[in-house]
Amino acid sequence: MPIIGTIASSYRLPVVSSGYFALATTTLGAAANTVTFSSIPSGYEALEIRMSVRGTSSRARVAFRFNGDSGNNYYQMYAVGTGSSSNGGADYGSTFNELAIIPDSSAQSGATAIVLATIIDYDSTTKKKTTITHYAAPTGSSTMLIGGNACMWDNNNAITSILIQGGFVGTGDFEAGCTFSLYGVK
Amino acid sequence: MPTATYELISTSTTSGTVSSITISSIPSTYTDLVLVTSGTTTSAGQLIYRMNNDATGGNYTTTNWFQSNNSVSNNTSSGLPGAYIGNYSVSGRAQDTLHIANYKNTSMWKTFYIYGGAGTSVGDFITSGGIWKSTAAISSIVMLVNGANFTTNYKVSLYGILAGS
Repeated sequence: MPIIGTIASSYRLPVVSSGYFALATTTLGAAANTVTFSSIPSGYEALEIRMSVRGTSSRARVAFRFNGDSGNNYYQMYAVGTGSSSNGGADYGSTFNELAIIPDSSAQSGATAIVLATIIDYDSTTKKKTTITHYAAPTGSSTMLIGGNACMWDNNNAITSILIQGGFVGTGDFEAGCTFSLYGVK
Repeated sequence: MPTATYELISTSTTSGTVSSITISSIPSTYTDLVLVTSGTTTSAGQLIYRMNNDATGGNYTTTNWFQSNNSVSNNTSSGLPGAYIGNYSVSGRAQDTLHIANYKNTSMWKTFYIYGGAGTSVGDFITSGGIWKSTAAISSIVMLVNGANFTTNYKVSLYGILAGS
């Protein structure tokens, strides 16, 4: 019997391995100046770092340093709104990427900042590394800061470690109870 | 071994015009919550979030930073019965993503961050944040619109994110 018509090509849905993976979390049992994520595996499309933080000093900040590089290889643009004004600026050739302003010792107790940082192509060996952050930081019982930073590490090496620094340019600690979580995104 | 996370807890879509949307029975399994919403409202009005349906004036401080009607503005509200966000149009489709850190922590106030907007002539782009001044774990979230309602097909999806080990 003749075969009539055509047989459509078989179609298989592509197998996609994707997802959002929790790699590590640190919760401080006591105040600490730094938190480090090390031995960061390659193979993800991006890293995301989620933080719930406040500092012990005045002018508390969150800052990143990659692969132990303490040179003047970090650049950032920042913008922040207070609810009554906006401010912005840039830092060139710093020794850290500054990511966010966070509540300090004078801020309302019991309140932390939420800081979200994303690094796409963190394991590339041909690209500079860009970190984008968004954050909301209570500075009092009735005041907030909303901000975002665009940062660059002027280095083509894959990121294998992230040192997270509290304080302002190396001073000050993160309070006990602060949490830092690292995620890999495929 | 990395733990796959960012799990869908619940999703719903309105089947008609409603005055409020409630996400209830939020499990205490996760560390952070992410609420993704999209849809239109019957008229322009600020989106309102209430944690555990707490409508106590003074329990929220919210700062909005937004572009609307060709100008950049920011404001802070404190003393309102909820977190008041943005200013949305009737004809656009607004999309918002709300992040809540440590939602089940019973020793800290709850800090949240939201970004989104409606890309229409009367919409806006917003980035906002705030605090709910309560140490209670968040078990529900109620959404309202100030002076308006949600229309049909307003979608709300809640995700939970686990911390790593």
